[in-house]
Amino acid sequence: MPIRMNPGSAPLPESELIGLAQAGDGDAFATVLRHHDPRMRTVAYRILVDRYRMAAVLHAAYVEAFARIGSFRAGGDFGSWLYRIVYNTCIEGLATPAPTPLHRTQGSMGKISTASEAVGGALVALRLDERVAVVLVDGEGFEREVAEQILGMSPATLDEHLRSARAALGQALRSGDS
Amino acid sequence: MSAPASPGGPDPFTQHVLRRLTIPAHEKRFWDDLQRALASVPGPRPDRTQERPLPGVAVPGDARDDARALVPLAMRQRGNLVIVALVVLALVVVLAAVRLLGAERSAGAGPSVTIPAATTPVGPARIVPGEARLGVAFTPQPGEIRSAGVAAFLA
Repeated sequence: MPIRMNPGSAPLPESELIGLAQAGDGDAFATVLRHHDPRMRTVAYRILVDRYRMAAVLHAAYVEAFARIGSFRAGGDFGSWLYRIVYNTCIEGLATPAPTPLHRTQGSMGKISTASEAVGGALVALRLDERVAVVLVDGEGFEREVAEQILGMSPATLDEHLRSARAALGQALRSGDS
Repeated sequence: MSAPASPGGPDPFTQHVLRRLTIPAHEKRFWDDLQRALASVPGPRPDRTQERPLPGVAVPGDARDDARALVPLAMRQRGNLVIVALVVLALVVVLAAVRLLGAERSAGAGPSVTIPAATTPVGPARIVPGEARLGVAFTPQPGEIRSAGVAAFLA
C-alpha cells in the first residue's frame, strides 16, 4: 500500500520507503512506522497497560528497528518483522518497574469508559504470563501452537492461563457494565 | 453469556472484552522525540550479507582474472595455501614410507615369525610376511580335530 511521507507529497510504496530507510533516511522510516503504529500500540498497551511505559517501550523498539533495518530482507513482511521487535521489547519492559501506576496514567488519556477502566484493571491484576497469553491468543489472534512457541509454554499450561485470564476479564467486564 | 471455560481457540467473548480497552494515542511530542532519536542513530547496521569481501579473496562469479578463477576459492587465501602445502607434504612422506616398506617385503628381507610347535600338528612353520593367509597354514584332515581334542582332555 503506498504511503504518503508528507501531506503534499506523492505516496510511495512501503518497499521504497524501507529502501530509503535502509540507506539511512530516518524520515522515511518514521513514515513507515506511523503506518504500522496503531497495531503496535494495541499490543504494547494490552501487555503493559500503562501509557507511559507503552510510549517508552515503543520509542525504544522503533529506534532498535531502525538500527537493525539493514537485516530486513526486501520483500519480507515488515509488519511482522516490526511486531517481533515490539513484542520482545514489551516483554523486556515488563521486567522493569512501571514508571507510573495505572490510575495516574488514566487522567491524561481523555475520557475513559468504565468498561475500559475495568478491563485495564483486570489485565493489571493478572499474572504476567496469564496476561501475555490472553493478549496473544484472544487479543492478537495467534494460533495456539504459535502462542505456545512464543511463550515457551506447554499446551496444558497455556490452557490453564487462558482459562483463569478469561474468567477474570469476563468478571471485570460484567462488573464494569453493571 | 457463555462462560469462557474451554480454551480451544480465540474466545469471542474475551476478544470483545479486550476490544473494550481504550488504546491511548501517543502524546504529540512522541513522533518529534522519535525522529530526533532516529536522526542520532549512527546509521542502520550494515547487512552482513552485503559486507565487502576480504582483500585477495574473490567472490564466487568473479571473472576479473580467468587464471585465478581456476584456483579453488579456499586456496586463494595465503593461510589456506600454507595448510594445503603442509597436507600435501605429509601425504608425500606417508606414500614414500609405504612404498619403501613394500619394497622391503617383496625382497624377503623382513623378519620371519616362528609359530610354536604346539599350535600346529606338523611342527614349527615359518611364515614369511606377506604370505600369511587364513586357512593356508593349517588344513585339518578328517580325525585330526577329534584326536587333538581327546589329547587335550587327557593332558
